[in-house]
Amino acid sequence: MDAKLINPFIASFNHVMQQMGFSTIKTGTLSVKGRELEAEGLVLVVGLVGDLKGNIVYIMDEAIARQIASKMMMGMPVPEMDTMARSSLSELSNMLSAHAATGITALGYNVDISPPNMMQGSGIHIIMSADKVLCIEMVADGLPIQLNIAIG
Amino acid sequence: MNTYEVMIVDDSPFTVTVIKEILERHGHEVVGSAGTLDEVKEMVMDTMPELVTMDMTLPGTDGFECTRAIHAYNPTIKIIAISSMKDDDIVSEAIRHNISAYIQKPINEEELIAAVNATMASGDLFETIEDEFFGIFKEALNDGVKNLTKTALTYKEEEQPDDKFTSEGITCMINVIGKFSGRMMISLSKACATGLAVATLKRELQSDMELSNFMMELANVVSGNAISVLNTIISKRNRSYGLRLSPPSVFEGKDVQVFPPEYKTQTIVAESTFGKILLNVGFKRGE
Repeated sequence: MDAKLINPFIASFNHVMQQMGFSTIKTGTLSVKGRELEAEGLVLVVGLVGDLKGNIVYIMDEAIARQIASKMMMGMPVPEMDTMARSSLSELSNMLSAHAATGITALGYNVDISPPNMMQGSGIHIIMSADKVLCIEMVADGLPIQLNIAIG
Repeated sequence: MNTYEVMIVDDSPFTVTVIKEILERHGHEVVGSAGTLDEVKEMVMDTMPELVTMDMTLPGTDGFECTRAIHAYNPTIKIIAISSMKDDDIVSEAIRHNISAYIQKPINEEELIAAVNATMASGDLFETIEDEFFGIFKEALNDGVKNLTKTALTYKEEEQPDDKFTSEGITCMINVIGKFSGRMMISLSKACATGLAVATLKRELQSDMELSNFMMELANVVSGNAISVLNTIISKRNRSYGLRLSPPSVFEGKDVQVFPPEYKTQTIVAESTFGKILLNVGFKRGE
């Protein structure tokens, strides 16, 4: 996988999260994993096809997901992951992926994305079809979101 | 070829006549014409057209304002912009306004008719897909299991309401991307997946990864076959609307909740020799 592909995801996260009202965006640790991922909480998956094929998997703790949803809904309390909260997080993953896809297209790869899919649970073991998964920990106002990019 | 009821928005009587004659030569019915915003509002309510051809420069208004007025009344009415002015900015704005096609004057008869057919086919096409896709996926799962495992499936249970479901152990997902995007999910217990994999390989499994690889293969076979059938239906109507598949991913874990996406999906449970297999498929209408 082309290492340059990381940049559109980081740029997209910075841009979209700032638009959502988050002020401090940090890029945390960057790592390369095998095809197996472990998840606790909320998992959002967006498919990618075109010159590059793969999946983008967003993973966040359930309490963090509720805080992000609350921030997106102008500070409205989100005591549980209801339909409204799920819808806002689904839209967030859509925006993050769409902006990243625009950035990837600017690198010369024509790509399209699928609508997001959402799952929730504990001890979720995920197996991707790509051999290597690029993992970026992004932090918005102290709230960590894990971006897993499985392309190839 | 289907024919449609069309309204023409243009302040030039000459252009109205040109568009009307082209449309009528191809069997379409021109139900009315309008040249101002008030006339547009009145005429849309009186004639309820399926399609509107829209001039972009009009006295006291423009094509975008008229489009918004029409879509405020009925968002399903299709709009084709026809204007002597065409540049990237105005076309981008037209896409944002859900205008289906943009044609530059002077009007070319073939181009206008092609735009009418493509615009109207897109809506009809989704209805065709919507009616047929679930049956196609059910058959593809049936065939896939039969060909790989040499065992049969039966669909006994009624189709489930479109709500979240809890994974029985393993869920495999494939996304569909194209004019109509969507997803296919196959969810089953680990015991059922293992039974299917062992029947396919005719030996015991050597690792959990072998089981995941089998699930990906099953999902690829089922969705690949179903999408090929759908693409054949689509290509008879419009070659540019082919559907493509993202690679599969597998999710394992007990009590993993799978939420419905923001479009309608359909779910059915099949009974296999090794246990229940849940199939969930859905598509969203194109932008």
